[in-house]
Amino acid sequence: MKIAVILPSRGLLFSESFEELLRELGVSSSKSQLKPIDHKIFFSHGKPIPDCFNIPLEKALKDKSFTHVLFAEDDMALPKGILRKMINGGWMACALDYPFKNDGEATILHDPAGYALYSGTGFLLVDRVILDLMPKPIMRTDIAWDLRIQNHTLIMWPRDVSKIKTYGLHDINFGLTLWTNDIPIVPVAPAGQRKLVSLGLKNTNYGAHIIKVLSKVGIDNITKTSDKTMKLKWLAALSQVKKVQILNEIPDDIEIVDGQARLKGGNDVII
Amino acid sequence: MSSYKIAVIFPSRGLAFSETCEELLDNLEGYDYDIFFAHGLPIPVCFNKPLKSALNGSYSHIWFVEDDMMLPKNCLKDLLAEKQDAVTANYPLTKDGTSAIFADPEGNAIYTGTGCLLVTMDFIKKFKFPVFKSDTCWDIKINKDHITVKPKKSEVGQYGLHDINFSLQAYKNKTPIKISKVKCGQRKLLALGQAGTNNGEHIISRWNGVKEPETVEKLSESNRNVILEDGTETFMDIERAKELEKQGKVTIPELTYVRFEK
Repeated sequence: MKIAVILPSRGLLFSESFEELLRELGVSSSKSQLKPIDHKIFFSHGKPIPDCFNIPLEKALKDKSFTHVLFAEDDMALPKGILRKMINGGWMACALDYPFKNDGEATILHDPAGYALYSGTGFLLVDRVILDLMPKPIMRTDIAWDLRIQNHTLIMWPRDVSKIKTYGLHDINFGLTLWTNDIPIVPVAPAGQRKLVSLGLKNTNYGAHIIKVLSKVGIDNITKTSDKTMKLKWLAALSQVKKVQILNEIPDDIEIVDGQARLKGGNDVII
Repeated sequence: MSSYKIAVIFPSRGLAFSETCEELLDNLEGYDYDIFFAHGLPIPVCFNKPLKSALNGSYSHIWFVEDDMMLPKNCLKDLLAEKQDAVTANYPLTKDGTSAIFADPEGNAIYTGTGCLLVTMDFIKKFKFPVFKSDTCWDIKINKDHITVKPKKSEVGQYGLHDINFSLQAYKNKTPIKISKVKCGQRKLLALGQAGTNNGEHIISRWNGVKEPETVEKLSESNRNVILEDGTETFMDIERAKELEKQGKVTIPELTYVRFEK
């Protein structure tokens, strides 16, 4: 096994995240007491999503000696020994679940069988066989996915957002591509995420940046809302889901208003 | 694999420039190494704590690298090739390239920063722990051909000092830090990128150029520093000084470019 680690960064990475990644890779050998994992880190610095993934990924895939690709983002808080657990699982694709922006949120949406419909790309290990088969560029942000739950079915459909300013989406597209091809991502464990609260003062010996760690994953809470009622309604509806249906286009009874999917004549699309 | 074993001391305020991390790993490729981090600790603890851990290991060298350095390719290899007990790369302290080093004319750093500093384990073990201190600052008077330094207690809020204390101590110990030909740059964060967008790049300034270190002139052979009977120091013609030394009226101290005052 040889891992290509894709480490996209906006230009700064949390030093603890960097240390944890190296620890998981067994780099500081005398400290970890574990045999180092054969790997190479492919950085990208300050590039937009999805280029920050695609450029180092394409470079890595040119080297056929890599058997796996690990996407590792610069703000993760990693449980000790998690990479070996992921490797030992022998899955084609597996990922960690972590809070999106706040504690109690999630980045993985599970299907009724417990697989990930999609995950974040914070710590995602993929067998290269899958990546070789995927159309390039592998990560794309021009499609958003709306969803609703109807008759115990979670229904998702794509929407062209190529001309709209969006955030992320590469991870959802990636996960759904795998899920629809019967190679779903396996959720392995929860993890945390670091957030910069404020920069430390300059030119002082006490210039630590203020950093918080989000560590509480709310399973399947992908609502991105602080509205507790909304969250509970979502989770209640999701618990009734028995199957998943991925559509190729927007359903007839749905319209897009101000960039949001809505029921024609109504305003509630999720549930 | 090189026969050297490197302990990297990597103090960080909590965020490191990703390019610095990449350059660090690139430089370490092919070496047996461990990285000792400090996260968000104040100066000088952020140096002393990881250093203490490293000193428990069996390393040939300790490499201090700060989280905002621009490390050129082969930086570590070139520093090691100089085979010095302690050697520092020069780098800019300001946008206009002000050197991090103040030097004597013989290629020794009188004082330098800790941005990219390589020392042998034997060298660092000669220092009392804690190696880095910021409780002392120095009144530094730069003369034409020497500098005088007088210690005084540092005041609350002073920045750094650990590096000046460390390098001056090395100089005082007659084991000065040598100046490498290697030159580094330094990164500065100008502004954080926008959160929640696909184009959230942080704005980073890169200081590439560095001027030659400031230096004192070579001491005149005919004009030496002498210490008088009352302990004060003065300069006089070397022949006259030798004569007075025979009479026990002056002491001719070892030639140095730094006068350490009490």
